[in-house]
Amino acid sequence: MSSRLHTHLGPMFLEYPVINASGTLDLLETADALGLDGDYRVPVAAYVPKTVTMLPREGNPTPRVAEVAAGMVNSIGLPNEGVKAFVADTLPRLLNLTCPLIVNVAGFSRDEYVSVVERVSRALADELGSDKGTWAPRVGIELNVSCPNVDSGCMSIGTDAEEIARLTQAVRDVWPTPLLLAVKLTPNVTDIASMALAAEEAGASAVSLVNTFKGLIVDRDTLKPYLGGITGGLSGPAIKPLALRCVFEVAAVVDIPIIGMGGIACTQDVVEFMACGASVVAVGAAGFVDPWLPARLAEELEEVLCERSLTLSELIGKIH
Amino acid sequence: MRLVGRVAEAAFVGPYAHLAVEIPGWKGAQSGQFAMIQAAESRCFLARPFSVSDDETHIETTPGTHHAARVSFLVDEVGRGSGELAALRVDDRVHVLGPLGRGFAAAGAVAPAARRTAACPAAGVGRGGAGRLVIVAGGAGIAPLPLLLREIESRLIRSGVLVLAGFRSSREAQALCILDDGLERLRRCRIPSEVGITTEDGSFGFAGMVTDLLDRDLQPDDTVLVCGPSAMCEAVWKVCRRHGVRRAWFSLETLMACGVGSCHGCVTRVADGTLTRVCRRGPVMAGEEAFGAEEETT
Ligand SMILES: Cc1cc2nc3c(=O)[nH]c(=O)nc-3n(C[C@H](O)[C@H](O)[C@H](O)COP(=O)(O)OP(=O)(O)OC[C@H]3O[C@@H](n4cnc5c(N)ncnc54)[C@H](O)[C@@H]3O)c2cc1C
Ligand SMILES: Cc1cc2nc3c(=O)[nH]c(=O)nc-3n(C[C@H](O)[C@H](O)[C@H](O)COP(=O)(O)O)c2cc1C
Ligand code: FES
Repeated sequence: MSSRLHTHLGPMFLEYPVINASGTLDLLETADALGLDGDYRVPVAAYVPKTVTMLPREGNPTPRVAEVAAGMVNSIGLPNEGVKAFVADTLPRLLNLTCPLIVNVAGFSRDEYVSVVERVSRALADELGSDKGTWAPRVGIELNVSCPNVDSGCMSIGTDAEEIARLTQAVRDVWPTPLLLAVKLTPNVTDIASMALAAEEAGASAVSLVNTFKGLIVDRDTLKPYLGGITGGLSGPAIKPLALRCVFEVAAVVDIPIIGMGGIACTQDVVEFMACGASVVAVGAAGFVDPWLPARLAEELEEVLCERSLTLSELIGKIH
Repeated sequence: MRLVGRVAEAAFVGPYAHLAVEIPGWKGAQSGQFAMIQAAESRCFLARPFSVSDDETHIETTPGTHHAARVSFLVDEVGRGSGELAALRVDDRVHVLGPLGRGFAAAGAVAPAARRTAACPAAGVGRGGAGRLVIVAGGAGIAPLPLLLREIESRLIRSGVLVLAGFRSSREAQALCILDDGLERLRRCRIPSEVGITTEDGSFGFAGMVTDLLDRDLQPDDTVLVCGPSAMCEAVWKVCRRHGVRRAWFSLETLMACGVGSCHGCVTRVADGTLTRVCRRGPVMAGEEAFGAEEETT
């Protein structure tokens, strides 16, 4: 893609400022499902796989998804293979992708987050060599402190600024600068800017916002909760104005880059998130309809920049 | 990559909408595979999974023909997404992601290709055994049958085909007309075939459930292929177990947000106790794989 779109996310060079949101694109499964062979063009500038936890997780009971006006509510519950299988089977395949990788991690206590990051680091040392400086352009970590669909840890950390700071610091000790450390925030708080500040001050190199808004679906027949996990997380165009407000408020107080997401479905959405202060945007649930949406939005973004005679850096934060 | 199709034909067969869509770039499907489809002008956020009903790209005498692929779908209108699709008219556009999932052949239910039949002892049908191929469909579960009949025809399955279809009433049973061409072609290839119909209200064919007919006639060496609602699938598996039928394959239905393995929304608990993504390991799964063998038989 054209050099007009070239950008950086901390130490990472990105060919364009559009990536995917964790849990909404399984690149390996999707490529296999669509019958693409090894050398397909990756549709994201950096790839964020689904959240990895210490132990394997089955996830929540079904039903897990429901469509609502302009979006969907999910109660997936972080099913994943656990870090042991992730580093053994999946990580080596992801390191073969042509784009940088941002490993999304969650835990049910601070120690668990740290252990998962340590396991990933050890595996990276085997794959890439022990000089962590050389990893920086290729691999980052995103801390998911914002999943609304699990009982403990995660969102309970993300709703407490002091906990965010302690966790970020603890992970920084094992995942040192200049490596990318993004903290993914929940919008289910009164003041998201203070959460972002806490992460920045504790050493985060980026903040991702937002995760889903906690919601509920009523079974239209029984009038009981419809989703197996009772509550779920709302995403899609329905949350875009809420997410834009979050990016706007956070951009006013932090200097680190923001990965903006929440309802992005078209190029105008990308433009608005960047104008509110996002340096990079992530496509979430809208990618379910078209897995190649992120790359397509990037191409269209370039046209918009031309039409408006703007550079990428002029667009970012234009609202402020 | 998501494709854009043009509706070439739109008609109702009973209460179901039958759409023929021209999809440039379509790779050709196996029976039992599905596509995520959505009207181009849609008020829905997500696409919906629909079985490929018929696919003319599939015809094996023309390998590599990708142009003007004509793919059909049968849509039961149950909510907003299916309602939008049922309302489509000729020349309307549809977004299509597919073909997706494991069809009957990939799941091992029918031999991969006619000329390889003899050399493919692993496949359930078409290896010269005595058993019939029994196809059981419920309601809109009849959708994948036209393509399945093409595969049976191209594999020259001599052992005979029994189609059992169950509907609510004679209105739904009108959908049987989508099988006319396929059954006629079987006749011309001298593949013995029979059709049994049930309706719940007795307004057409036998009064009762499709499992009642199946129960009367099933033989242990039959191979059973099933498409329909989950409750019917489970009931059919019970009948299969009772008759000692081991070779049974089911096209499973769950809610799907992505269809390609990304969302983990489509999981179902399978016989080995794990939750599995139906869009990837299915939608067609063997009975033992999906429901297990230790089921109580009465
Ligand atoms: C592999 C596969 C192949 C399929 N093939 C076909 C086919 O060939 N033809 C066909 O007609 N169908 C087929 N289906 C089924 C089809 O996908 C669904 O009928 C369709 O997705 C329904 O979408 P909708 O928007 O019309 O309904 P929706 O309104 O989305 O309803 C879908 C389901 O969600 C439930 N639901 C959602 N929200 C609530 C709530 N608040 N309270 C209670 N229940 C709720 C509904 O009860 C219903 O079961 C297939 C499904 C799969 C998985
Ligand atoms: C089905 C689904 C699964 C998700 N899984 C994860 C996850 O595993 N980890 C995570 O950090 N966020 C997860 N998310 C949240 C998204 O990454 C994103 O923050 C959110 O959906 C908002 O973006 P959107 O409106 O574009 O979807 C998930 C979202 C959806 C819809
Ligand atoms: S439908 Fe999304 S994983 Fe199967």
